[in-house]
Amino acid sequence: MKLSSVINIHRALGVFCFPFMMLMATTGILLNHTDDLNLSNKDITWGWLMSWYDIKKPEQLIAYDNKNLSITQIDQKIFFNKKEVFKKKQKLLGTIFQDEIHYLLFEAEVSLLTENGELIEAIKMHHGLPSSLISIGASKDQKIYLRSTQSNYLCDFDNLKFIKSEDSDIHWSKESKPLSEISNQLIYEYNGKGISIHKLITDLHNGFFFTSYGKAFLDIVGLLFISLSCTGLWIYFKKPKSKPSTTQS
Amino acid sequence: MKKYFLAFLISNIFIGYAAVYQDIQKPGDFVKEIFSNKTPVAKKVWIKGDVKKNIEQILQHSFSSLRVRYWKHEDMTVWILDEIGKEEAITFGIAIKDNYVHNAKVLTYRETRGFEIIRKDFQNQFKNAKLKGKIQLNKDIDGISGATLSVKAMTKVVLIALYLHHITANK
Repeated sequence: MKLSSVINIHRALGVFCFPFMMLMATTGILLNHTDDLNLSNKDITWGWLMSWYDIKKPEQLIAYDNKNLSITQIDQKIFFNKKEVFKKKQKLLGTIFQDEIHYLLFEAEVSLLTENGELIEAIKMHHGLPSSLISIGASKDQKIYLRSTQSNYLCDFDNLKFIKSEDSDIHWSKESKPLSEISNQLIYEYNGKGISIHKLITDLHNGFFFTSYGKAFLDIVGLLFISLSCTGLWIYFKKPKSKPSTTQS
Repeated sequence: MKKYFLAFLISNIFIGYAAVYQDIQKPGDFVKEIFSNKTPVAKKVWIKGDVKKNIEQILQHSFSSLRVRYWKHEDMTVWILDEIGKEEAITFGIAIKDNYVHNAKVLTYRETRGFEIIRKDFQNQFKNAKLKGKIQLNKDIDGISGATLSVKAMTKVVLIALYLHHITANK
């Protein structure tokens, strides 16, 4: 091969490999000093980065206030303030606190829980619970009511009696805004802390940041680095050394 | 040969799809059927202390509810209980008469595998079973390959129903 061709290849490789060389060298140096820079404990929560890593915000965040207690549903998890109490696939439609029991209305059942969040029982359709329920509420005289798409029902959960009612002075449970300190903390716990800088740098260094294609691409770039070194050596040994110019005086 | 293989493949796909969620009988209808349409008022039993301990010994995991509803008329009780097979809860209806299993049935099957337990010949094995000691049945139940966890779930639920029937006998 002609020396001039090898020089051209070497130049082209040099230009192509430059950004990758910089990336590999910089991330390599940072990885060498992970502990010194405490990179494992520093987290990034940039929106685009979280979505790139497929860490999504919960699709469903519903909150109700029940006697100074914030009851929150994040996707399938139910929280009493910050404490996870149980999981439910159905959507939370309302809550009522009565006689030291929390009544949580879901799409097809009412879950009864103690003040500590222990499940007492779940009342379902086969217990006589009316269908198509949309809300739960209480009257001034502390009676519990359920509202369906058709009518209201006066409820006796102890004896499983649900009687149609015309009563109208009922305070229906309303969805409340989740307390920011609680919802932020819950989402933080739900999603994890974000991406650590160490993980990001490692993924950039080995190409995993760009999924398995990135890994394959960096394999090729690695081979090009080897080629760059080889062409460099070739040029070094084949290029005729220019003789130092001698000026005769 | 290719045709048979294709038919087998397609039928398996459909069986698999159908097995994802099977609402075999509504729990309320099961209770009605057992009591010949005269459903008694549901009673409740509290799950605490030794009762909770014994149930958890049968289940080999914690039991989440503090109380369970059941229906009783004379010496017959009916229990609607959920237990997880592998990942999803299976709903069972169990009727106990005089400490013997009168009927045991899968009411809702939500798992993707192991749906063979809905077969009548399998469920009929539980008929006339009774408690032997605290956590065993007096008869062996033949398992189904590929449905081991669902079979275990059903056996556990039948044991719990027998146990709860026993402790509520005089209530």
